[in-house]
Parts: sequence; structure tokens; C-alpha cells
Amino acid sequence: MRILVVEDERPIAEFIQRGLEAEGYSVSCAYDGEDGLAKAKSGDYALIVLDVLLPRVSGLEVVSAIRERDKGLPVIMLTALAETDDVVTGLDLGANDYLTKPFAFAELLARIRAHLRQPGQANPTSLEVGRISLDFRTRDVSRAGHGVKLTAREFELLAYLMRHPDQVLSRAQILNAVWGYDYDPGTNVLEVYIGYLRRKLAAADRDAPIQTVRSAGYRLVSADA
Amino acid sequence: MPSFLSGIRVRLVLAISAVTMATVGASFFALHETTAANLRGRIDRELHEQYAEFQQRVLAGGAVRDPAALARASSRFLAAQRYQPEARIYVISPHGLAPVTNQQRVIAEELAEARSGRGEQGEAAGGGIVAAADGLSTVSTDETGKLRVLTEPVLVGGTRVGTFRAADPLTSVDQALATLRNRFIAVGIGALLLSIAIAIWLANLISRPLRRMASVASAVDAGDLSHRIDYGGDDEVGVLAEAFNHMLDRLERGFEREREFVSDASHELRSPLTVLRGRIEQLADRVGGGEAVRAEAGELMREVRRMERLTEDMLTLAKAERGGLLQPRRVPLDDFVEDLRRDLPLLGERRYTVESSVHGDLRADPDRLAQVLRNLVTNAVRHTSPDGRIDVSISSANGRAVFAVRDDGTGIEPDQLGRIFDRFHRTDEGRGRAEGGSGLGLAIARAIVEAHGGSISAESTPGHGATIRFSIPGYEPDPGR
Repeated sequence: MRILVVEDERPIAEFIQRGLEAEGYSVSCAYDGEDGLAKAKSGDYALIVLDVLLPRVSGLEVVSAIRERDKGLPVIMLTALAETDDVVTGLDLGANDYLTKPFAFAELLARIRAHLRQPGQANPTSLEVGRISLDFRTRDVSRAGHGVKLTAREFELLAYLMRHPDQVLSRAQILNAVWGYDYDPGTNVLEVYIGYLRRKLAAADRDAPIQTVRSAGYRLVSADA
Repeated sequence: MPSFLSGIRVRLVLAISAVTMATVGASFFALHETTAANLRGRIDRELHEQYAEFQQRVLAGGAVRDPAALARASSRFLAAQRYQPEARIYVISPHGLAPVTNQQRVIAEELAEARSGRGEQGEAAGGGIVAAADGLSTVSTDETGKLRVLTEPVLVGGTRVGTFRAADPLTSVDQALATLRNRFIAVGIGALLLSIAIAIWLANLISRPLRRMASVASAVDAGDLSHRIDYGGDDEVGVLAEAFNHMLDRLERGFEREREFVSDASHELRSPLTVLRGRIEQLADRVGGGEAVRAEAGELMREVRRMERLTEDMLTLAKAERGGLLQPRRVPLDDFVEDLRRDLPLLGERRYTVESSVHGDLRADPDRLAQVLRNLVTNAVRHTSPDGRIDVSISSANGRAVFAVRDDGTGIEPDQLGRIFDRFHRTDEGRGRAEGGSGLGLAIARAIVEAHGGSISAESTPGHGATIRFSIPGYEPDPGR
């Protein structure tokens, strides 16, 4: 699997390259937008990791140029801006996902894995796993066509689980991603939320597709027929 | 200066009143003296005229040669007065004979008094008409009050045969002066009242723009420097207003530059932090590194996280103060409270209660609102013991949602209350650092609340906990409940 990393800050490009290579990917680096676009056009890459702020040609321009040629190539944007506007623009131009610097490398890896597994799913405004669908814009959630009313936090938790279907996610991973701030490791807040989520998602005839994996974490099962 | 004298109004009133009173007083004194002198001068002239008439009628022609002839001639003169001026007293005293007078009773009494011996101390000093010395003098009698007396010797061939005295009462002068005084008192009071009114009006005229300036100045703070004084005049106050506005312009630019710097700096810090974090993660995962390396990496990672949090907080604060941080939408408060209730234990094990009397929507940024409460509760956790309690309550007032976080911890000293929302402010140096707070939590809370158009405040009894309360406008109660 070949991955292209377009990032003007060499130390960042370097550690991403090293980390991905350690995971068995083959990685090329480009240090500005022009070079990145040229490499993306010529090479045969399975995924592109793209910084937004790039010299010469901006990351946003690179995204739209790539999209014109290849509708299916997953693009994950890296942004130090965390400015919603840029993120929204990037997603609208066709990027599949974004990460805000500084990010946990494990998170980047997880997203790369998810996008490589389902290269077709290029619409991050809604998610669908099994019979559960979730819309980021309207914040509607339904299971098997029946609307489910979730609180904001429950919605974030479900969205996170749905981004990583069938994957076992550790408590620490989930707490980090959904709550994001310093938490008390001994807290049972995740258990409480999983409990609520299960209750709300449970249909008349079957349980919610959230599995507890003993001493490992939780998993959202996509085979929810 | 005592406070009641310090107002511009009071000072102006006092100054103008003092000047008015001094002017009125000086005018009164001058007019009083002039009038008194004029009136006395007229009386003196009349007395002299009277003497001239007496000389012409009695002495001219040489008929009077001895005191007896003087007495007879004087009696004729007095009887011949065309009118009997009640007020004027004539006394002609021929030597060795009883005085001839038109006021027999008064003079008889005077003479009796003089004989009874009281004259020893009083008469010669001008106590009576008959004792008056030659020339003009002023005497005072019990019967007639103050009198002006002209005393002239009656000479015949160089020999004094008697004394002519004419006296006019000074009561008319006193009355005129008393009238003058009364008028001046009336005019003085009027002038005083008028000057006070003018002073107040003037003081208002001067102080109104100053007061407006003061209210603008107190409305200005780091969060909102957009206020300007709108004063069109080009007088001294206008100059001051313009200088003030210029100062605000400069301050605003300064604050803007500072915010940009903070924003840029924390932004720039993210790249090296990304590298640090990535490298440390890889270090921990490296095969053969052993447990010691892993522990060291974990230690480093904790510090990196702290720096990440700090840069994140600085960026959030800069954005909240500059605007553009919030993405407000309709927040169903029931759901919000439910999440809040479940999330609280994340911030540290305490006895929590969450009470809400609101059921409706609040127009706010839910993530930022949650951040405010998180920061307040984190702050409360930091200042309470592990068995402490933290109460969160949500109520509504005047279309605002009011949130309060109360703890039973150490509380806040009164002199710290106003400063706890300052950046990097620590009530207890060292304590915050040890527990890894960025020192920006409450500053961010305030910035977010103010970005929502709300307000935040703290109250505390030291030793008995603290309450931080904030309100956010835009609450709409659920009509269904």
C-alpha cells in the first residue's frame, strides 16, 4: 500500500513517514503543494495525507485538483487551524477526513486503516453502519428507519463508534476522542453512556449492535441485519 | 478634602456664592457709608442755615447787647418760626439766665438730670443737648434718641453773651440706613439664590460631558474597547474627549496585536508539538526499548499534553476575545443537563448534584457552554477535598439561563474575587501548577460567557466555599411545559 504524505514541515513529514513505514506502508513525501500535486498525479497511491497550509499551492487547491481526476482516492487533511471554515471547505472540496494538529499518531493510523478499508465512503456528512444511519448536518440518527433521539454527547460517541465499525476501541481511545480533555481514568462515565446508547438504539426485537469486548473496550458491529 | 466638597458642582456653587456675597457685601458697605455721609451732610447744612437765619433775625441790627436782650429776642425768634418743626430742637442759653427753647420739657429734664449729678460722668461727654461743645456734635438722649447738634457762641462785640444750639434727630438717617440694609439683605438673598442656580446649571453643563466620558470609560475593558465618546464640541471637554478616543484607538490596536500574537504563537507551537508527540509515541513503541524508556516516554507525553492544552487554551481565549469562536445554535437544555450530569464524574470524584428548573432551548454554542461548566467544575474540584460536594444549578431569569457552580471548598479571599477570571491568575501559587491547570480555565470561561453576551461573577465566604454564577441570554422556555 502506497501512501503520499504532503507536508511542508519536514520533521512532521518525517515522523509520519517513519511511523507508517513501521506499520508496513510504503510512504512518499512531498514538501510543497506543487510537488505534492505532481506526485499525486503521477504515482499510484492508495491514500493521501495532506497538510492544509502549504507553500505555492494550498492544500485546498490540491484536494480539488485530486478530486477532478480521482473520485475515490481517500484524502485525510491535517490542519493546525482547527478553523471550522477551512475544515468545512476542505470536506466540501472532497477531502474524506481531517485531523487537527497536534494529533495522536494512533488516531491517524486508525483513520488511515478505516479509509483504506472502505475507499468508497467519501461522504463524511453522514455515516451508515449496518442499519444505523447518522447525519452530521441534521444530527438525525435512525436505526432501521426509526428515529432515535440522542443527546449531544451520545451523538458524538455513536459517531466515533461508527467511524470505526467492527474495530475494538479501547476505553482510553474513546474517552480521548469523544471527551477530549483530561479525564479521571477511574471514571465510569463511558459505561454510563454506552448503557444509554444501547437502551436508545435497542429495537423491539434485537439488542443494540454495541459489543463489550472484555478487558479491551467496545465494538460497533456492522453485521446488524 | 471631605467628599461632600469634592464634587465639581458643590465647589462651583460655593465659589460663585462666595463671590456673590462678597460683591453684595462690598456694595452694601460703600452705599451705606455714602448714604450716611450724604444724609448727615444735609442735616449739618440745614443746621448751619438755621443758625444763619437766627443770626440774621436776632443778632443783626445790634439790638441784642446783653443776655436778657438775647433771651427776649430768642423767644420772639422761636415764636416767629413759621412752622413748629416738632423734630427740631432749639436751645438758646443766655449767660446766667434760663435757656429759651421750643422743647421745654426735654430741656428741663436734661437740666434736672445735669444738676442731680449724673453729669459728672456723662453730660460733658455729650450726653445731652445743653452740654454739647461748640461746633457740630452728636448726642444721645433718652427722650429723643440720637441727635445732631450745632453749637455756636452768641457774641456781642467780642463778648460771649450766650450759646445757640440747634439739634436735628438722626432717626431719619437711621431709618433710611435700615431700609437700605433691609433692601440689601433681600437683594443679597435673591442674588445668592440666583447665583446658586446659575452655578448648578453651569456645573451640570461642565460635568455632563465629563460624566458621560466617565461612563464610557468604565464601560471600556479589555473585552470591549469599541466604545467611543460622542462629543461634538471643540471646547476643552471636546479636546479631552478626542484625546480619550485616541487613547482607546491605540489601546484597541494594542490589544488586537496582543491577541494576534497569542493566536499566532499558539498556532506556531502546534507544529513542533505534533513532532514531539509523534516522536515520543514512536519512542514508546520502539522494540527493545524496555520498560524504562516506556516510562520516560509516558512522562514526556504528559508534559506534551500539558503544553498542547495550554496552546489550545491560549488559542481558545484569543478567539473568544476576538470573536468568531462561537457557533451558536438551539441547545435543548434537558439534553444538555443530562449530558452534564453524566459527564461530571470525569472531572474528579466529588459528591455532585445537578438541579435544573429550565425546560426549553438556549441559543448558545453547546460545546463552549459545556467547556465553561467543565472549567468551573474543574476549578471547584481543585479547591475541594475528595469528600467535598459540588452543586450545579440551572435556572432562568428575564430570558436568561442562569448557571451556578457552588462548592464547599476553601473559598476565595475577598481581594481575589475580582481577579480570579484574569489570565494565569492563581489564588494559591504553586497549587495550580502542581495539579496541571493551565491557569486559563476561568479566563476562558469568562471570555466564552461574554462572547455569548452574558456575564459571570464569583462570590465566596472564605473557608465556606465559593459560588460562580453566569448567565447567558437567549433562553426560550418550552411552551409545552
